[in-house]
Amino acid sequence: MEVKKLLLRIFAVALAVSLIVITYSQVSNNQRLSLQVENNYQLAFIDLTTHLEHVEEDLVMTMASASQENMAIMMASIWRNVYAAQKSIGQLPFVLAPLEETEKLLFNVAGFAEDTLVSLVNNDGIDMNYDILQNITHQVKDVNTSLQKLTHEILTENKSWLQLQQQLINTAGMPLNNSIANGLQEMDGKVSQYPELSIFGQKQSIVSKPDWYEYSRDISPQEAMEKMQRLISSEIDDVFINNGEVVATRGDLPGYMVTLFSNKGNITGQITKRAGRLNWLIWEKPIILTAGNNIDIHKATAKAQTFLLDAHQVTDLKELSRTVTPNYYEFNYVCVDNGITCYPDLFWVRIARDDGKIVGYNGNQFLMNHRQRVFNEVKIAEEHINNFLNPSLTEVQVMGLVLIPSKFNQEILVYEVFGEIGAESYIIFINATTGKEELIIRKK
Amino acid sequence: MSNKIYLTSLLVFLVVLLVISNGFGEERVREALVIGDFGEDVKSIQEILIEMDYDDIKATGLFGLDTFYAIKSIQENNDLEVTGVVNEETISTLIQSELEEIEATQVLDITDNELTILAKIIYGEARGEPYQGQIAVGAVVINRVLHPSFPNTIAGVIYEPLAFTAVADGQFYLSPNQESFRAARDALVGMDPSDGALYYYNPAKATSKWIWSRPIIKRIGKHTFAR
Repeated sequence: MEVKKLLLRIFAVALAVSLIVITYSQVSNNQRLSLQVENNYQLAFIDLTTHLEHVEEDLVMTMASASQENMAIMMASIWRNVYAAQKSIGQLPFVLAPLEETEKLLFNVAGFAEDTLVSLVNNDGIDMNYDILQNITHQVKDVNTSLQKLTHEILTENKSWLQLQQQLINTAGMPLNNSIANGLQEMDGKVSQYPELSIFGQKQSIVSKPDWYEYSRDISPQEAMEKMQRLISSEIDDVFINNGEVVATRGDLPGYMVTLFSNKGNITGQITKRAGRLNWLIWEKPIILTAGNNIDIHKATAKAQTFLLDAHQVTDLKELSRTVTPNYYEFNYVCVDNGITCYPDLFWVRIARDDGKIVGYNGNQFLMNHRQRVFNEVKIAEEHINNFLNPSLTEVQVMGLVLIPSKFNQEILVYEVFGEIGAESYIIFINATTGKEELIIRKK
Repeated sequence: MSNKIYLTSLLVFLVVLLVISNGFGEERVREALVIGDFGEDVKSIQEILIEMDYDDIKATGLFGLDTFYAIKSIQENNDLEVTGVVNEETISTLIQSELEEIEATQVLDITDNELTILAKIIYGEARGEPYQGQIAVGAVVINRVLHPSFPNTIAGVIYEPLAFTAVADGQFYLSPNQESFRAARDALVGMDPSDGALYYYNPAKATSKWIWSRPIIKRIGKHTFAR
């Protein structure tokens, strides 16, 4: 009995001691990890302030420069430092309450630097836009003053980012009594006081409404449902639809998301509110391939093209690429206008291999971009293309005239040229009017 | 009697010790499928194997010996580490052998790694959701990459602190299934069932006042998508 009691006592003590040891090591481990996280946040913030200080320096120096070369170098440096500042912001816990105005400013500064750099390099006589430069410089200076104040506070009063993060999570919004958060909000507020940098407002890809918007009327939810059923009527003749649902959506192209619940999976499509055009479609149909029902790929292409003709009245289509998987075929099509392939008018169609039904479709690009086009004059003859190409290119093939999207929501008429250097293949687009090399794509 | 009590409590103590000590080694997160595992994940893998002409596999959802040997042979044919364990590399290889290469019609130019992490975030955040809801989650990531107020890379958007709950609570580290890879790929070729959304939330669970103030675009499954 005595031995037993002794053993029990030893056991109890051992239990108590091990629990203490375990708790202690857990707690100290947690502390170490928390410190690591806090350090990462501190680093990100300090990096942010450093990069933006460099940006301010370069902006101020550019104001006094008379050398194209130096200005170009400073623009490149500004572009690089803004990118780094944006990366640092992405590592701080701001998501629930973003610094929208400040981030917009940085985006504009980067855009300005890139554009100015390109014109300086082209030496096309475009002067530095000193008005914008001054405007941007003031704004960046304001941001830096706020950041300096905040940094000082954080460093001298040992403010914690982890604490801010915890408050953001707890109060699920911007906490009003956290000085880091307040400092940042104040900074963002100052930036928003400045009038919109209007030149970039136009150049940025604002989603403007497509051409056909003006000439049509809005449809009702019922009409959307009817339209949807009509568009896929040939697909659903052996399918039992037991219910339907229409949900309004207020995205870039306002519309109705129509879902048909069937015995062969749900069919969901989006019909635009204006003019009732089909935007995209997904059919979660089970695809069961057996030995006998594998659809021929030629039938599938024909089917896809018929569908596009029916939905959008497009006849002149060119197949851009095809993908073959065990369950379905996918095709990418673009429109052809007067013999010119227009890449912005893009479609994607997916056909099931067991019964040839359309199980996926996306025509968003086509809807946004397709329009009546008047093409620029072709001033470069095909025979002279080689003058505009890199002499090291071999196996050069001119594929023809195409239309490609360019920056600032424009479209340019170009020659599409295939070429190779060694083991690398390229697609090169040469402007058909000016001969300028617009774009190079690496073919993989 | 007291003998029994003593022995039982000793046993309990040892078990507790074992469990706790396991808990503070590395964070235990399931990263790979091994022989003996059971579930939908395993079933999808088996379905792919069957499509690849491994005839003696049955899609039971139980990772048995047949599946084990099939995985090993795939790993061998593709110069992977031949372990019979289905890790991320193995899954990507399985998916790649089903899908062809992604063409230049992608909205973003990405690498295989980025496709994988896009599939992981979709799986972590939206598995079980209607297929267009899964694509929509991927589309939100892509919309953020292209938007000035967010990081400029897929990884940057996904790992941004506090951005995605799946990243914060470890669900991001589960192995994505075939459906997530398909949804990721569809999002990359420009499908956007969310119509340009930058945020989404589960209205039954979201507590942030700020997120409720964002203009709503639509609802798909259990997620509301907003600008």
